[in-house]
Amino acid sequence: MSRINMNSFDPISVIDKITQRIECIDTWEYRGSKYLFLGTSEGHLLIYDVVEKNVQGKITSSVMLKDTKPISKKTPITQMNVFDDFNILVILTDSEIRVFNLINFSVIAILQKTKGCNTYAYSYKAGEYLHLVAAVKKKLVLYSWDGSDFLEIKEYNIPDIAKNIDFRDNAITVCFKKAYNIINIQDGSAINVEADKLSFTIFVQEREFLIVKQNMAFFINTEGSPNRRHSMTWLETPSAMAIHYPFAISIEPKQVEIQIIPDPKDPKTISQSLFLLGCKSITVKKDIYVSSPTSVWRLAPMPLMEVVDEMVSNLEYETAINLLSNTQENVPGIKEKLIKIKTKAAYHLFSKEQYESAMNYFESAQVDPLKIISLYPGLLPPNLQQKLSVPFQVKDTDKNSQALKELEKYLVGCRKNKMTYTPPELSNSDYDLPTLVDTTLLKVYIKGNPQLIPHLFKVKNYCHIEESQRVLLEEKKLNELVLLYKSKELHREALTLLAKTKTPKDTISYLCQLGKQNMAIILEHSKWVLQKCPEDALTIFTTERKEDALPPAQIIPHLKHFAQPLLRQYLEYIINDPLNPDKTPEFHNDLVFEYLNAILELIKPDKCVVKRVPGETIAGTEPGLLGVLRKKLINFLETSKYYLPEKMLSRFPFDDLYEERAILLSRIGRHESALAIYAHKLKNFQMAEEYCDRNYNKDSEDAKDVYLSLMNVYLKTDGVEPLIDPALRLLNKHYRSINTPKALNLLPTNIPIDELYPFLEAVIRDNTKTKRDNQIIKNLFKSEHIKIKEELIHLRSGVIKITDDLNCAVCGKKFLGTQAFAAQPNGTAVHYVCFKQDKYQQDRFQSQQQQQQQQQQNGYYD
Amino acid sequence: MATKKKVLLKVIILGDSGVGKTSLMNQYVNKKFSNQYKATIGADFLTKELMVDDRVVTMQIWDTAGQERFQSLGVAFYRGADCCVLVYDVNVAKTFENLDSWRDEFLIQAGPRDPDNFPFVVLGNKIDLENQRVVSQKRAASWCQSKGNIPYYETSAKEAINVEQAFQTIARNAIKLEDGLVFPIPSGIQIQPEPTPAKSGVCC
Repeated sequence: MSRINMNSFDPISVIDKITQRIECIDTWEYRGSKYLFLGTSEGHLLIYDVVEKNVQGKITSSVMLKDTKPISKKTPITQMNVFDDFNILVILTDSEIRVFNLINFSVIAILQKTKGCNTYAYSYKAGEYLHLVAAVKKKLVLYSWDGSDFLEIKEYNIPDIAKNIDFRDNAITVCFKKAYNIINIQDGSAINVEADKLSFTIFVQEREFLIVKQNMAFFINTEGSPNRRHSMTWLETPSAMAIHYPFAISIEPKQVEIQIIPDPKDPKTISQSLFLLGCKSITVKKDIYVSSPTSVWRLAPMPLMEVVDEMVSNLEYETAINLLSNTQENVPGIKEKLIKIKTKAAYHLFSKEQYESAMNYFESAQVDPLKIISLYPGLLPPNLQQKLSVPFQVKDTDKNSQALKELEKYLVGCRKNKMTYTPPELSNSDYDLPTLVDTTLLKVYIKGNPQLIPHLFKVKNYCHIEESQRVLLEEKKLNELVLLYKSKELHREALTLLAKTKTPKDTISYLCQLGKQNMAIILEHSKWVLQKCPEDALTIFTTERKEDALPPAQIIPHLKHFAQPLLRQYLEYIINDPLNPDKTPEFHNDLVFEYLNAILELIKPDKCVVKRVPGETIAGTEPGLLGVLRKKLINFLETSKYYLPEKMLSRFPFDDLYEERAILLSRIGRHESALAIYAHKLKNFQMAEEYCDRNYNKDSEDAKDVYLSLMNVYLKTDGVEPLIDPALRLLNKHYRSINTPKALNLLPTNIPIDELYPFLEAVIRDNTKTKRDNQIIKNLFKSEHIKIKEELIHLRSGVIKITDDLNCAVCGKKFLGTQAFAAQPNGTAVHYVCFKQDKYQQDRFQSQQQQQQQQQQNGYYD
Repeated sequence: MATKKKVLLKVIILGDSGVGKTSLMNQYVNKKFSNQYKATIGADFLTKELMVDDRVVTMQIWDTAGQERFQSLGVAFYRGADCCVLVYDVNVAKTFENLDSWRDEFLIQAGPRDPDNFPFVVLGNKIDLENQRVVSQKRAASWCQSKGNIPYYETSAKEAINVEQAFQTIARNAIKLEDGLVFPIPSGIQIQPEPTPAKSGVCC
């Protein structure tokens, strides 16, 4: 892997050649003052004041020795940390951990369990928590800071003496010579991984740490497995390291080496070497210091923007973006800078045919979609191709499947955003952004995924009509073109195309999807299919639509004109619709005429093979279509309530279709004429009688004499022999429904009395029975009347004494003087006035109830 | 021989607001139901491990916002989905009629390689509300059939009716797509079914 140099830190010497040997180093910031702490081999703590000067925007710093504290006698201070938040200092010396208060430099604690400690680590979040873990021989001791002291929490056994440990969140990593462990302090679980020649371990971020082995550093996650494909390579074997995101600073024998922690997606070694000899310790809080046994340097970070610009000029866009996005510094203009670099990066990657990464940057920099679409000149509409320029020569992007795939993804993402502004390049063109995006997406689909085109046209889209039409025609995608027209409601264009290129069925199914608002188009374009493919075409008018049904008033004349044979079927459909049957008298009339005309056509003498005798066969039982039609017609005439029989009669023949005629006559109340047809034309007395059975109603003026009418029909015949027998049979059977004197009047005088005997006997018996019944009823009523009269007399004879303490049962007041009163059947008295009122109200209540009952009854019978 | 590696399936639930997407997911994963309605903001996901034909499968179920104002999902969200679940409320006709556009919109966003065969599953939810139903089973089934035989289930997240079965089908269909991508089987070549290993201590 190539190394890229950078210039991110500038070393400033602050202490040079002191007499004591520096072991470790840290800083303390307290009330605006900065201090530098050195722990020495001699067991001293040296405290320096840090003086910073701002010279022309560049900060220079120098230090001045302020104090020297003897911590231990002749044993070195091996490790040391300041926790600024708590103002405490933790020191490892003499194989034990001591804790100092930094304000008065008193000893807070000596952690007893740490006797024999060789190293420690901490997990610290400013203001929240501080945990400390000490490696003591083959043990780890965990402490937690409670604000005033370290409390001992737990102990863990470890397989060997720890070489070095690190601690982040809930995980402790322990580095041994030939293995490393990951201990979860929450559940106490431990993972042991065998390895060789390990130097040390250090956390990079949460749940990811480095295992350093010679000059390599491997990324491991807290499950103990490698987390990245690559490792970091150092110039020499690091002896210590610190992470100052995004930098890793490594202490090596001959230098301090700084590397940018690489981007997992595009690992690169970007490094800087500072030739500071023999360094040993490092501190990276706000300020960074490194120390050798005798000297200290401050590593001053170069201004971020300078580092970034350097990266950009080396075409290391991703690193630059990484630096900018991860910095904790609050530099003004970062956001704008990021957008600028991302845009540059995107173009650069695009030119390198790394389309996916390029699009990601375009998207995150929110580059104008127009600019991105322009990178595919082959997909631009011809009139825009000249107008839009590309910053570099693009290869055939419109033929590269990867490039197209990424564009598709990008455009689909654009569709989700609101694109309300119009770039100046598009002014004076008939495109705005949504139109350009959707039209381009269509072209991408045509090239890469034509199956998706229908879906695009089914959702709301802004495809440019002419341009889309042009490209679809070019590719001969006619089905899709129809869908485009449909989505733009260009139904005429769609239908014209269908008529030219597809089957009638396609036109029919298209028309089935149009609603009432397109009635004119439906009528216009249904003409040819009605003629070419009549059976299927009728579905245009009979298919169920989401919105309102099509208006029959327009369809019927249309069918009469262009597809007369379908009219009957259509009328049957609208009238028999179970959900919303049509009740227009006109249409019902039309249907009757349709049946009639069809029947008349069939019974024309020249159409019949065998000579037809009208009335010979029972209507509806004729073989073939005639039977079917007559059955339908008769059924319809009987059941439909809406046709106008008056208008029909003149259209029906006199000498045929007797049954139908009889029904019509019956409809207009001409029972006698109807019956005459049954009796004389059809000679079917049973039908005649059934007709009477059906129509007789003793309470209706029209229908109470139907049996008599039939008698009349049987007997009063002009010139023909009267039908005595059926008349007598009728009379004997239905004498109760026939007015006797009128019937007798009708009978010819020459009928022998013998034949009338059963009839007369029945009538007399009947009358006698009625008379007797009535007498019984009369007498029953009479006796009841007398009984009630007696009860009344009894009640009236009662006495009520009106006294001073008697109160009216209605108003509760007393009876005064000669006030009129009413005596009630139960023996109480009430004021006459109260009685009247009370009665009035009761009456009203009762009549209301009756009314309600009546209404309910009416409701049921309606 | 194909290794039985652990499979992660990405399943996306779509449908109008208030049809019960979140409730279905919660019923399936947590076996819980609440009558209270809370609009989903953006998207949320839960995972569940289940067995499909002797295979442990981790299903990542993405619940989405039905309300347009809460839809802030990028293309990345839809890409890589293994199955899309379309949910409607059998008591509200509009939610059924909108299935078409949910499906179209999903296909555009996800841009699958073979849109006509992408696995969908349709769920008609809230069948526990008696006598309020407006979308008949027949109508829904015929829609599903017209879209390439999409499996259809009538569910109740509240009463836990058919939820388990529906998600089992979802996983099965999703895994087909996944398998298709991992081991493309050339047509015309018969592959012997693998002998099922003796069950010994199946871990859960």
